[in-house]
Amino acid sequence: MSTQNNKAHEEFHPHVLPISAYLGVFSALIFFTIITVVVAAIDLGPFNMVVAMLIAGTKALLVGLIFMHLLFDRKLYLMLFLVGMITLTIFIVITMFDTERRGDIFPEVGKPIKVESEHYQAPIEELRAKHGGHSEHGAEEGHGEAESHGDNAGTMDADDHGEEEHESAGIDTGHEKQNSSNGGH
Amino acid sequence: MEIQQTATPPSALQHHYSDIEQQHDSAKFGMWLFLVTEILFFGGLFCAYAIYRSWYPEMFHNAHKVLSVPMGALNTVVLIVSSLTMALSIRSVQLNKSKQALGYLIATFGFAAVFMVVKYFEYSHKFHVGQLPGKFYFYDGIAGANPHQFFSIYFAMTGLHGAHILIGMIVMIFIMIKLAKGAYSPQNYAYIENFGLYWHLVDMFWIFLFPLLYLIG
Amino acid sequence: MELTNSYPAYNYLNEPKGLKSWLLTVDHKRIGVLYLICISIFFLLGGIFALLIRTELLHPGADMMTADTYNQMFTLHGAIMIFLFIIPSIPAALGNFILPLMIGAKDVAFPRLNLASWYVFVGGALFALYSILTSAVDTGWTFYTPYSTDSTTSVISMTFGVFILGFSSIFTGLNFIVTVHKLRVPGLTWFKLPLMVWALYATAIIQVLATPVLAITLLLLILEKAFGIGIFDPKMGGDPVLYQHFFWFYSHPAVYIMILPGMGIISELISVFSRRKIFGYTTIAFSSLAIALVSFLVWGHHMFTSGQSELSTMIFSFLTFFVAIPSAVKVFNWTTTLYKGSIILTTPMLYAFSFLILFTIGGLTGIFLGALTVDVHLHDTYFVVAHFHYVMVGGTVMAFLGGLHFWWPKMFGVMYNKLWSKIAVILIFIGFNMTFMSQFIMGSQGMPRRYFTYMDQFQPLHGFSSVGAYIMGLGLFITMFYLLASFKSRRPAGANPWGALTLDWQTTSPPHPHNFESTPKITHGPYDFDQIAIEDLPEDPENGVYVKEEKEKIKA
Repeated sequence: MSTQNNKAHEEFHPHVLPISAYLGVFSALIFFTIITVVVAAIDLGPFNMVVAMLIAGTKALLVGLIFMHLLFDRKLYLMLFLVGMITLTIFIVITMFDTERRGDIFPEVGKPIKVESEHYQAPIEELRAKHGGHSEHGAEEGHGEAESHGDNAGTMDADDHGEEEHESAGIDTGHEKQNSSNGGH
Repeated sequence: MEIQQTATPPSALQHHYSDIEQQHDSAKFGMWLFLVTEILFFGGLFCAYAIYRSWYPEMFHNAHKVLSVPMGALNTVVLIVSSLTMALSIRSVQLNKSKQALGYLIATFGFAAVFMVVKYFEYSHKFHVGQLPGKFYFYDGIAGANPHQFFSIYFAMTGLHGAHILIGMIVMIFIMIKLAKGAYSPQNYAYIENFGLYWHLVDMFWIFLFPLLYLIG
Repeated sequence: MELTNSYPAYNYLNEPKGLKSWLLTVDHKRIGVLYLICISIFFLLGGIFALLIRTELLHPGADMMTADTYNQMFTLHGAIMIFLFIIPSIPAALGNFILPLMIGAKDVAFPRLNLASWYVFVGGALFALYSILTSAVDTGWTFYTPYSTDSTTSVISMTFGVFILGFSSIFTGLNFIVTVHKLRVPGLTWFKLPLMVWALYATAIIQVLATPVLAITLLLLILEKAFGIGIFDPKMGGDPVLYQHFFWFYSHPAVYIMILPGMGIISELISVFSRRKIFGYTTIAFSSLAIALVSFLVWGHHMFTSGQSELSTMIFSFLTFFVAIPSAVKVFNWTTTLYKGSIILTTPMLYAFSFLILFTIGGLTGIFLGALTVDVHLHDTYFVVAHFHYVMVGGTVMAFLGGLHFWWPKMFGVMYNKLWSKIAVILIFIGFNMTFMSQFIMGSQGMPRRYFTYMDQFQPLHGFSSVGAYIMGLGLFITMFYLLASFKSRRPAGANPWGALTLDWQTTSPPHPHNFESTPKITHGPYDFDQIAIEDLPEDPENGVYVKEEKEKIKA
């Protein structure tokens, strides 16, 4: 990748695509947009999302490869793009290993968020009266996740496991080991 | 000891590069790295979206119905056209046709403005009826848990995207001025090319946002 | 080309002149110096907070501050040390100065972006300082929800400051990657690069890939605080554990942003001061990249007890152990390099030894914490505090100080006092171990972190720890004074006082404004001490030039 090997020609020549390539990609993009709107109207069950993402992925690929010249440029850029996508995938997938699987072994751990986390319902009337003014009322009915009201762990009596007090009924916090203060390992 | 001034380099060449191709490549490389950061920047929102959608599928389904598909589709088309004109603008610079490039860029700017206008109408409607993020939410008519979260995510995603469009429009004005002055040539067009990459990426985000937000089956 | 060993009249420090030329400079060396000044100030500030914390903890009960003040103190100590000192310390200050020199380039790839990154850094720091002056944040440096959403302190300005600092970090990382790819001098292939460059390259990859996630996290946190968007705040139906995922997806790799460049410095120091070719060059180089890769897969080990799914905890615990492999590869290679080397105990080398010892302790205790069952007992205790201070201070700060002492003569062309620097390193080493070894013991006995008071039974250990902190503080003050005094004494260091073989030593000290007067030639590898005759090297590096030149005078 040493860069000094082109002493011979000081000029450098841009890679120009024919205009038809751009127009072709453009028509394909419009076509896929129509398809995705049409398909969304058909209920495919769980495949709705898959189809929509496949179409969006194809469109993104077309934009990337032709409009952004990934197909013709140095492959390093394509690699960078993929590295970005892979890192993002890792982030989403591994995070969802948590969010989708809470309570697999000890159901009571996942219970609050899976079952009982219903629900913050905004006090509609009050808000409507204020027209967007904010209200704290009713907000206490959060789900049982680590709601430790800012015990800043600065006092000895703060329980290390941050057991919460819940005004709302039905949430059994006894089994939870929530602790939102275990910062920086 | 004086600084060694070898043969005067072309004006566009910065002193620490040995030739214009190295400089052009570096700029593009840097831009791609920046685009990677953009992917991950938006990615956090996609992650939040994925998790909350999987937690509250019914709510997401019910909430998405209040979004206007025609408006979303219109904006998708508008952005695709702007991407096309952007690509053609760069192509014109590559062929040393600055005037033509300027025309295409003005078109791109126009389509970006159309996008923002459509977005404005969508937003103002939502502000009016209370389909707002978080604690400002006061719309009554979406069944399911925590509908305010859908609008939090909706506004975060489209808001961040809109901010990128606005920033793009500001940068476009500078590029237009430079194009009008004839500052770019086939030897020196990294700046506009890199801007094009940014613009296409912003388009790409919208390509995903549209089905994710407007077309939840 | 013969290099002059006297102080060059024409160098980057004095040409061009004037404050304006410094504030508008695009020279990577000057930007490095600007960064160095800033991070030194923040190191001092964070250190003062640390000393205040340790003073409060001398005795149980509220001695000098209330619980709330204490919360603010440890938050500011953590936030300043991490975001304003450690993360920019090696890459942005030393790295900025040394990376282009090491690869024989005239500058980094984007000099103006480099300057912008410094201004962005200053801007972010001002926001953070503003937050300290108005109402200091008390949430811990991690800004966990719901602490941060409920706190009445100025969380928004602090997080916004950190958000801005993130961009500074991204700009630096982006610049370094392109620089290493594009601006290497002809003939300097990837496997002839100094290991410091490899380490900075791996760091830059993490900076570019991870920092944007911090940016979006903090943006969402600001939105959560301002609009209650309900993503992270349980009061609004959000999930605080999700915040921790977002936060640690950046902040775990950030730990490697801190330690990797330190490892790069140690690779240089060990090889130069044992006068031996580094053992296992390729494995050290690739272990840097391996650490960068693995760093993205282990963030959940900060959340074993936060209520994430059992599946996640198991996956993360399993993956965490993989970090030990590339780290150990490095330690083994360094120790093997030392074997049968002609070890010269200069100040930088003493710091390298401190690093080896302390980092190994820090790394091994990390394995305890990575094990699920043990972590349940040890999490949120002083054991954790001691562990990450062993890695961050014992690792990164020792490496930073070692690097600073190593490149000080190159940066400013002057040599510091040999005796005082050795006294300081010994004080710092002893003080550090007193401070944190006692915390390992307290932690394993159950002393929880982040409390402003404690049970009487911990008093002796806490007292011991505080005294250690004062000793360490004394060592650092001495360091500050003799380094500043070196400007006054103006004892020229010479172009290559340590007899190092990397390109950065093949220019004058301080370097020419354009780094090299002519493009340097690659005649040997960065660590080819086996090919360079030992007579070519100064006998006593810390007085190197003097001894050599005086001997020559006597001969003459």
